[in-house]
Order: sequence, then C-alpha cells, then structure tokens
Amino acid sequence: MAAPLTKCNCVSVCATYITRRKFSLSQYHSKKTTVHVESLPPEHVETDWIGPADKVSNIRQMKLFIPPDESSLERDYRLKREVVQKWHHEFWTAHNKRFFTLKEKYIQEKLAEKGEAADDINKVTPEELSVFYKKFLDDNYPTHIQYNKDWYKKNISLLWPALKVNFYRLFARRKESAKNKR
Amino acid sequence: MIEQFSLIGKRPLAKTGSDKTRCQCPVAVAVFPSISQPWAYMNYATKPDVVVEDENIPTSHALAKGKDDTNRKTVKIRVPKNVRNTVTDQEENMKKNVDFEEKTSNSKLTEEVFLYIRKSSITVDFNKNVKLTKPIHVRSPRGKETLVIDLDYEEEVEVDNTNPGQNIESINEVLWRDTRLDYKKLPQYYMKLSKIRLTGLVVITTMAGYGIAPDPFSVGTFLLCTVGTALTSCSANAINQYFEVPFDAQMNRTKNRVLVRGHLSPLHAATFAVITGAMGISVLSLGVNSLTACLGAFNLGLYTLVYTPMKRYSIANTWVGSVVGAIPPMMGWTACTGYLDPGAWLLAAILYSWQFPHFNSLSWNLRPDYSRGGYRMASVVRPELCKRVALRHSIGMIPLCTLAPLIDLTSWWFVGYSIPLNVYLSYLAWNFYWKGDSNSSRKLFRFTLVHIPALLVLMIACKKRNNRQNATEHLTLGNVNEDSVS
Repeated sequence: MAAPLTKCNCVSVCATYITRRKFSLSQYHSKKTTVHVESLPPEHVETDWIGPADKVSNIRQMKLFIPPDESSLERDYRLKREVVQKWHHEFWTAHNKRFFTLKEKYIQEKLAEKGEAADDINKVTPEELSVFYKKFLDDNYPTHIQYNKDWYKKNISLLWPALKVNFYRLFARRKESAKNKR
Repeated sequence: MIEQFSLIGKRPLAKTGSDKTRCQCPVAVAVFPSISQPWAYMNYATKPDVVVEDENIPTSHALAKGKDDTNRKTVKIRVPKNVRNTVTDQEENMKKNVDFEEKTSNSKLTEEVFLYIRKSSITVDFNKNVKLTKPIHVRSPRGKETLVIDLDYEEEVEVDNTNPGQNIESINEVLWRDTRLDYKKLPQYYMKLSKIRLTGLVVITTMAGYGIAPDPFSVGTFLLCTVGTALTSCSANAINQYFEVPFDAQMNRTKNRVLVRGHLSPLHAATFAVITGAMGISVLSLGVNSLTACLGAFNLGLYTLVYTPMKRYSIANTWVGSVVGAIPPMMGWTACTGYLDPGAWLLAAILYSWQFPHFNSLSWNLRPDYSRGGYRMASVVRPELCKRVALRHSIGMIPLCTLAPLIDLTSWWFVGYSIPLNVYLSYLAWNFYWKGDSNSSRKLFRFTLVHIPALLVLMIACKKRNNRQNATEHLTLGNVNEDSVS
C-alpha cells in the first residue's frame, strides 16, 4: 500500500488488510458480500498523521508526533488537541449510536403497526421517517446546544496555542538548537 | 426431578421426564430444568413464555394453536447483525451440541416465533427461515415468574450508509495520511476552503447588480468591486468551514472538506480567512466606496457570526441566510451608484425570495443528515412550513418582477419574458407543496439554478437606459465647449 503514500517515510508504511464480512441476510447489505477495509496507524511518525473516519463517530483519529526536544509549549498544545479529538469521538459515538438505535426501533414499530415483515424497511415511507427525525432533533436539542457551545470555546482556545507553537517552531527552536550545539 | 414451573396466567404445565428439554423452536434454545412444559408461549407482555415442544409428547404446536384458552402473540425479534454474521448453521450447531446433552429435533413450528425484549434495542430472531442459532440461555429463577434470557453478545451499533465512516467511496478515505502541508496543492486547497463555486455565484450576482444599476459603467470600479466581493466571500466560507469541522465530518456531502480531511490546519484556515477578509474589505472601502465596504463587512459578520451558529439553534437560520444571499447584488448596485435606490432593494428582494425555493427544496432530501448532525432546518422541524414558504416565495416572484418597470428599472418587456420563468417556478413549487417527495424537490432545486441566471440576464437586457447616463455625458460636453471658447 505504499503507492498512495508517496510522501511518507518508507519505514513507517501503514499496514492495511482487507477482511470480508460474512454473508449477511440483513436489509442493509442484502445478499452481497461487503468488503471491509481497515487501516492501522504507522508505528513511528515524523509528523502528525491523520487516520480514516471512525465507523460510528465519523471522527478521524490523529497520531501526533512527539519530538525528542519537545518544549512545554508544544506538549500543552499536543495534549489539548488529543483531548479535543477524544471528546469529539466520545460525543459522536454516543450520539450516533443513540440515533441509529432509536431509528431502528422506530422502523420496527412502524413495520409492526403495518404488519409487514421485519426486514422490509422500504415499506416505511419518508414521511413517517421524517416524524422520527423531527422527534430526534427536538429530544436532543439541549445536548446539541451544549456541544456547540463547548466546541466553539475549544476551537477558539486552540488558536492561540497553535500560533505560539508555530512561531516557536519557526524561530525559537532554531535558536535553541543552535545554543545546544554550542 | 423437574420442578413445576407455572407462569402467571397460563395453564398448569405437564411434567416431562427429561432433565433438560430443548425448545423446538428453530433456534437452539437451552432451556433449563424449570421450563419443561409444552404449553408456554411467547408473549409480548413483560413475562415472556417460551414455546417448548417435546417430541415425546404428542401435543404439537399446531394443536396448541387450536386451543381457545391460549393467548398467543407473535412478536418479531431480530438478532443484531454482528451476531447473525458470526453464527454458524443451525444444523451444525445442533449436531455439535456443545452446551447440551440431548439432541434436539427440528422444529415443528409452522409460524414465526420471535422474542422481543422491551426497552432495549435487543431483538432475537427465532425465525426458521433465517439460519441463525446462537444458543440462547433461558433461565427461570426459582420462585420468580419472569424468565431471564441471556444473550451474550456485544451490542454493536448498526449504522447505515448515511454515516460517512461506513460509506467508503475511495481508498483515500481509509488510509492514514501525513498532515504535512503539500505546497503544490495549496491553491487547490484554498479554492476548496473558500467554496470557489459558491463564491463564483455570489460574485456573479454582484456583477449583475452592478450591471443593472443605472449609473455609467466604470471598468475599474467594476473589477475592484468584483475582487473585493470575491475575497470577502472566500473569507466568509473559510470561517464557516473552520467552525463546522465535526459537523461536516458527519455528512456524506461535506465529509471531504479540507479541514475535515486534515489537509490544512485550523490555524491555517483561520489565518487565511482573516487575511482575505481584511483584503476584501480594504479593496472595497478604498477602491469602491465605503457603503459597499460596510455592506460587505455586515454580510461577512452576518454569515459567520449569526448564520453559522444559528443553524444549530433555530430554523430562522434560513431567513438569515436568505438575507446573506440578497446583499451581494446590493453591493454591486452601491458600487455603481453609491447609494441604495429602490432598484437595489427590489433586486435584493428578488434574490431574497429566490433563496427559499432554492434552499428548501435542497434541504428536503438531506433530512436524515440534518437530523443526525443536529442541524435545525425547516425541512426536518416544520416540513409543512418549509414547503409553504417555498411556494409562497415562488409565487411572490411574479409581483416582484412586475415592480421592476414600475420603478423605472426595466422596460415592460422584462415582465413579459420573466412571466413564463416565474410561472414554471411556481408550478414546480406547487408540485413540491402537494407531493413533497424527493422527485419534486429535486426538480424544483434544479430549476432554481436555471431560473436566477436567466432572470438576471433578462433584467440586464431589458434595462431602461435612462437620463442619468445621458445627463452625465451632456454635462461633460458642455464643459468642453465652454473651455474651448474661453
């Protein structure tokens, strides 16, 4: 899998493997095999790497580079970023899980009402689904508002450390390394 | 020794000789000693019974069906996908007999039996048509009436393809990537960050506003206005993307944005936004006039600080967004004339009204994404209002276009040419209002993309050449004559 990763260090090529999901009779992957691709992070990185979107939370995992001469400034910034990524991942995993579980339950209830087979999800009309969508939005409104407020605060609070780290890397680090050499 | 196990409301149960009786449902159910009678039924109530059929006892399930005092309901249960996928064939499981000492015979059940566990997302499929047989342990605690059913599996979340993490469209989406900035691709990233297509359309409406304005056309001002608006729009879109990273990750439509994928860092995007915004507003204030610059700055603030957060708070964001779309032609107009004539307001009103059939029809097909992403859009929260507003504003285009000649903006030919466009738009909006399906919404959306450029072109073509342009020329001539004389 080195071909698409043209810029990476050849030593740290990430391993990918493909597993085939078993034949499933569910309505989502009806009567065909699904190819499931997974990708592992590289073991050693020289810069920050970003991974694929998580299956449930859709948030991308990051593997941040820890330089051997990492200053406290850089360390603070790195830890903050990791905390924010983790927070995103946890929120969206719980949220999406809730959404899909409730949606499935709603579909089953509707199908039971109509007396249809459980696998025939196409029998639920978009209008009926839209009732569920509205209910979900309304029920989760406080959660969304809180997440939004927190996200804006976190996002803006990451800017200033990022700026400091970038300036440090551009100017101060060279001075430091020159000083150390002497 | 089999103990009698009597479930509430059910008939007394017969003893059997075997130690463990296997339920002859299509699934291999390990029924523990307490449950040995043939007449327990699956019940949707809080006290589930288990249909058990012993091959020694002649009473069959079919006979049981005939009994009047049996109260039976079929309840549908589904095994979660990850369990269904990993279980082996029913017959194999039976033959292996890992948990139980006795062999079971095949089911004599003729109808589907399911187990539904209320207030949970767990369902168990006993359907004989589905080959699944993860042994399910059913226990009846001594002295208690409820059955305890242990389904030892890990509950996996079943997501569908509306989830971008599940919906893999290219190999790039699954690989780990170095986030080091690729300088060669920087122009491409900047274009994506500034949503170049949307910016282009905004700039076109500004240019149309300039063209429709009655004052003389000045190439320099026109170009500066265009460049300034473009830069301001780039800045607005960059800030929007900077704020919306986790939400964009949740929708298939936006999962490939630059910040979501990590091509640019958030600081980079924010810096880009600040620089282009400052440049845009400066160009407008120095090269055009201060009114245009004020409108530009107001629009930038409205879009980034009001519209973007409001998308998650209230459906009123659509109305705010429509104002954001209506201001660029006003900017073009003020760039030309320097003040806001009634014509500028009419042009803004036309663009404002157009936003509703455009956006409401687009958002109709994105309802699942908006719901899961937490966006409060009228199409999800108040669908009837959404359709009604689209219809109302489509029909409202007709009187608005009729106003154009009345304020001396265009000739009456404009009304004549625009009526077919507006009537067709209203017809599509009417269809959308009554049918409210994905087909009608898509048709309406596609036509709005044709409708507004056509309308703007017609407006410019039918523009009234008024005295203002002639008057200016006349004055210039007069000055020259006097100078040459003296």
